[in-house]
Amino acid sequence: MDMYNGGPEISIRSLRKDGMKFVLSNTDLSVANALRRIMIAEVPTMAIDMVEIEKNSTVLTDEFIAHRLGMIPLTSFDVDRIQYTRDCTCTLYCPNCSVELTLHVKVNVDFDDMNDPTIDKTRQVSSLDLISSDENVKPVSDDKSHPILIVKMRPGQEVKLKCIAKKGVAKEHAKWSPVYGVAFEYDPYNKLRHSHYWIEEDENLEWFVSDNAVEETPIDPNEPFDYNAKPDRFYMEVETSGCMKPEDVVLRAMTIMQDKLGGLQIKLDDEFKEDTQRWGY
Amino acid sequence: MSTTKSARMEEDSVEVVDTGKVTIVPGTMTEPQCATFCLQDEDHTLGNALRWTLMKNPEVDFASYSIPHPSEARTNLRIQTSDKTTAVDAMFKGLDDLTDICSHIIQTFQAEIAKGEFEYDEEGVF
Repeated sequence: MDMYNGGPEISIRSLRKDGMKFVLSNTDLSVANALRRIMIAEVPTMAIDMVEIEKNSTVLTDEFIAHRLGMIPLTSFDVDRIQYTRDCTCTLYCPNCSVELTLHVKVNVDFDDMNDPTIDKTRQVSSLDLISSDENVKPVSDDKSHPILIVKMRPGQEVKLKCIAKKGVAKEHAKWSPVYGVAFEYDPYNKLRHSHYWIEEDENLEWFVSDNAVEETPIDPNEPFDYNAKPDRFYMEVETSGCMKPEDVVLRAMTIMQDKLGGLQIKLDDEFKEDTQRWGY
Repeated sequence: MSTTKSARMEEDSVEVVDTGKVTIVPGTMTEPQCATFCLQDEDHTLGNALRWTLMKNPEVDFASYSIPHPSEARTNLRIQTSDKTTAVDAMFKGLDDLTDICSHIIQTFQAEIAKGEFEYDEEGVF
C-alpha cells in the first residue's frame, strides 16, 4: 500500500439531516474532484421514470404532469435492495426493480359553495397525495405543511395515474441526483492564483474571502509567488434532496469509485495478462 | 510462444479491438513500456484521479489522459514507464493505489462520524 504522506484526512465540520460540511485534506485536487463528480452524477437513487395516465382533466397536459412527477425526490435509503431495470429478468418492470406510486384525486362540485367567491375552491394536489406501494420509497416530506405541489385543480376535474419509480443515476437524468448541490472550495485566499477575478480597481475591496479563509493563513505580501504549490485542503459542503443521509452519499460515492476501479482491474486482467506474458515481463 | 498469440499481435496492429471496458489503442504499444489505454464509459472522474496516482509512481515517466470527443463516452490514458516496469503493470499499480486511497477515505470518514466531534443537528435543514 502506497499512501503518499499518510493518506487523505477528513475533518467533519457539521452534520445535519439534509447536509454536511467537511474538509478533505492531504490529497490531490483530482481525488477531491472525483468525489464531487460522483456525488453529483453517479450515486443511484429512486425517481419516477414512467407514468401511466388513466384520467387527466386538469389544466396541465399529461407530459407536463409526468415531468413534474419525475422531479419529486423519493426516499432512497435502501436503494441497494432494488435492481436496475436493465439488469432485471422482467420484461418491463417488476417489484424487484421498481416501486409503484398511485395518484387519484377528484374534486367534486359542491353546488352550495359554487357561487360563493369567499370560498377557495382550488384543490392543491401535492406529493402527499401520492400513495406508494413501498413504505421505504415515498416522496421526501420533512415538512408536511410544505409538500411538493404537482397540480392545482378546480371542482369537476380529476386526475388518476400510476407512476413507476426506478433506480437510476444522474448521469442519465438529473432527477436521480441525490444532491441539490455540492459546494467545493480550495485556497480561499487565491494564493495559487487559480482564480482570475474581474475587478474595477482593487481586488481586495471588491472580492471578499469566504468563511473558509479562517482556516488558512492570509497572503503575506512580501512572500514571493510559489509556482510549485498545489492545493491540498478542500472545503466541501453537501446538500442532499432528503432522499439519502448526507454521510451515506459521501460513503456511497467512494464505494462507487472503488467499484469502478475494481471493474477496470478485472477487465484489464482479462485483456492483458497474456500480453504481459508475451513481452516476457 | 504459441502461433495464435503472434497471430493476434499482428491483428491488433490493424484493427480496433473493442471487446469491452479497457482496450489498448492500436499502434500505441510499440514496446511494453508505453501504451495508450482506452477506457470505455469513463470520464474526468476516473481519468484525472488515475492520472495523478500514475504520476506518483516513480517508475512512470509520463501519464496523461484525454477525452478525444465530448460526445463519445471514452477516455484515452497514455502511460510511458522506465525499463523497470511495463505500462500494463503501472496501470495495475495505479488502480491499486487509487483503490487504497478510496478505502482510506472511507475508513477515515467513518471514524470521524463515529467520533462525533462536530456540530450535529438531527432536525436541522437548510
